[in-house]
Formats: sequence, structure tokens, C-alpha cells
Amino acid sequence: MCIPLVAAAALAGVGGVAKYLGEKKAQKAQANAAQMERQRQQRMTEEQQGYFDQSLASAGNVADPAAIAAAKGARENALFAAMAPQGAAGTYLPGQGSAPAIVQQQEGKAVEGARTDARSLASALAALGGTGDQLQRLNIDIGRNSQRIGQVARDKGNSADILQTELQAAAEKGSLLRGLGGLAMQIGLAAAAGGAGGGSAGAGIKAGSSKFAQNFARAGAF
Amino acid sequence: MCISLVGSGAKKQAKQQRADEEARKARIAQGMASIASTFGKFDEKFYGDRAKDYINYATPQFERQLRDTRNNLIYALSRTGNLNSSAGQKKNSDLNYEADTARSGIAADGLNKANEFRNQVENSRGNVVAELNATGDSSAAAQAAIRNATNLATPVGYSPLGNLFASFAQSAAAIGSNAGNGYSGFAGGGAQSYSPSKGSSTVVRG
Repeated sequence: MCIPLVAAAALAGVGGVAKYLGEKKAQKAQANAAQMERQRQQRMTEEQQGYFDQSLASAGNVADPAAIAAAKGARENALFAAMAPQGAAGTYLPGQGSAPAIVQQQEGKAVEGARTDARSLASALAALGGTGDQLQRLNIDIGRNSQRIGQVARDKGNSADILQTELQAAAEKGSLLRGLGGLAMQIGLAAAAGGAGGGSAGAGIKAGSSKFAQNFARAGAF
Repeated sequence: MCISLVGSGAKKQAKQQRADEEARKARIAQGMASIASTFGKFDEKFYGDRAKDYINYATPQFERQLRDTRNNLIYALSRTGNLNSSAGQKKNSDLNYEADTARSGIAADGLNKANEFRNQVENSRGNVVAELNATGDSSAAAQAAIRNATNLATPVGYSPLGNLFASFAQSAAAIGSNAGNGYSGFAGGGAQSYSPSKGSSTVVRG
């Protein structure tokens, strides 16, 4: 059998193009897989950043004077509610209920003074306790955000691991086109070599096919 | 063809892995929702109620101690004739101060107990989340959340209050016990502000 040189060259050319297209297809599939993973990682990083920002905002809140005042106020209300109300009648010693007005006034003044002192102390205690309350809430917020950041970090790691398999799958895209293209190219080249060398084109094809098959098998394509 | 068969195997494996991972993430999300739901009952009202529980527990003890301390003060002042003295008034206002400070202390302790409880709840919640992360098993995590939440809701024992007026009671008991200040119990003695029977003040010797 004799293949004209032009046809052999054309076959080799078409084979080369097909092989190239097959490779491009694999490259494109790999690039797509990598791009999709990049987007996934980006989304997850943004999610982590969101949790991190929440933690920062919580930390900032602890130093915010309004938040400090609110925390103190909440504690102060609870403490004052438990104490004797300011201005209410005091608990007098026996007999002083019928004491002269001046004595009752003096007693009332002493009791009210004691209440004022006790409230000042309670207010200071509330300021300290309020800061503790804030720090506790902050720790809880940060702890929860850390949990979520950790979960997303695990998601990211798992996703990146899967990418390896996806890239392998993508690398096999266009393998049929690459294989057939390579085959056609080898045959064409062999035929052309045979024709140009003056020998039998058939022998050239046979030799070329055999060489191709060996190369292909070595590459593990089958 | 062999060539296409090789390709489909890897693709199938990749798809399966991705599907497994998405399923795991969905289970984690479901588990987190279960945890949030179960631990959601530990809200501000819950902790506020725990603080009130402590106050309700401590207040009767406090009131009893205050009553005893006040009675002891009255006995001591009466015994030394200081019941109507300005020093007696001072002592009474001191007791009012001590009582109010103890009241606010109990309220603060109630809030602190509630905060301790909040820490326990948060630790428990963290353990369940860790379990969920490790197993990826939302149903096991949900059960663990319920188990932990139930354990946390069980009342814990509290120790009785200590003597809130120990220092004051000591000073009240000292009234009339020191010859150096005329058994008045007050440094420099005490001044009788008025006498109900005579209607005039008398000076307690110092």
C-alpha cells in the first residue's frame, strides 16, 4: 500500500493538531478545576475573615466607653435593686421612733449617709464586675468565632485535598483526542519518512506504528 | 475504549470525594444548628433567673444574721445605757452600712454565680462542637448537646453563707466590756443625745 507523501504529511499534521487540542483540553480542564478551587478557597477565607472581624469588633466593644458604662449600669441596677432604697425610712433603734425631731433627723442623716457610702461602694463594685462581664462575653464571642474559623480551616484543607484528585481527572480530559492524534501523527510521520526514503511506505507505517505503540504503552495511556 | 475508561474512573472518584465533603459540611452545619437550638435555652433570662435563685437562697440567711446582729447591738447598747446616745446612732448607721454592703454583695455573688454557670455552659457547648468536628456526625452531636444541656440544668449545691457580720458583731460585743473607756465600748466614750424619760442629754463618762 502506498500513501502519497502529501497525504502522509496531512495525516501527521492533523494528528499533531488533534494531540495539541487534546492537551489544551486537559490544560483547560485543570485550569478550570484550579480556578474553581481558588474561588472556593476565597469564599472560605472571606468567611473566616468575617468571623475574625466579629472577634475584633467584640474586642473593640470592650474598650468602648458607652459599652463599659452600659455593662456597669446593668450591674449597678442589679446591686441597687437589692439594697435599701435611698431616702426610705431607716431602721431605727428602739425608742428613737418617739425621740425628739432633732434626734430623729440626726439618726436619719446617719442612716442616709451610711446608704450613700454603701451605694458608692456598690457602684465601684459594679464597675469592676461590669468589666468582668464584658470580658466574659468577649471570651465567649472569640471562642465561638475561633470554633467556626477552625471548622472552615478544616473545610479548606479537605477541599484542597480533593483538588488533587480533580486535577488528575482533569489531566485525563482529551486523552482520546491526544491518543488518536498521536497515533495519526506517528503514522503520518512514518509514512512520510518511508516515502521520502524511497522505501516501502507500508514498511514505514509498520515501523512507525510499532514505535508509536511502544511509546504510548510506556506513557501508560492504554 | 481504554483511554476514555481511565479518564472516567478519576473523574468519578473526584466527584465522589467532592460530594462526600459537601455532605460532611452539611452534617456539620446541621449539627451546629442542633447545638444552637439545644443550647439556645441558656439565654439572658435563664442566667438572670439563676442570679435571682442565688439571691433568694442567700437572702433569708442574710436577714436572719442581720436580725441577730441588730438584736445583739440593741442589747449591748441597752446594757451600757447607750441606746439613745449619738454613739449608738453611729453604731446603728454602721450596721445599716454593713447590711446594705452585704445586700449588694449577695446580688453581686448572684451575678457571679450566673457567670460561672455561663462559663460551664460555654465549655460544655465547646465540647459538643469539638465532638461534632471530630466525627462529622450531626445526630451524635445533637444527642450529646441534649445530654450536656440536661446535666447543666441540674441544680448545683451551694454552701450556706458565712457570717456576714462577724466583724461588726465583734465590735458590738465589745461594747461595755472595757473599763478603759467607761465600759461604753466606744473610743472616748459616748454622748447621750437624749433621754426619753428626762428629755435631756447626759454625758457618758469617758
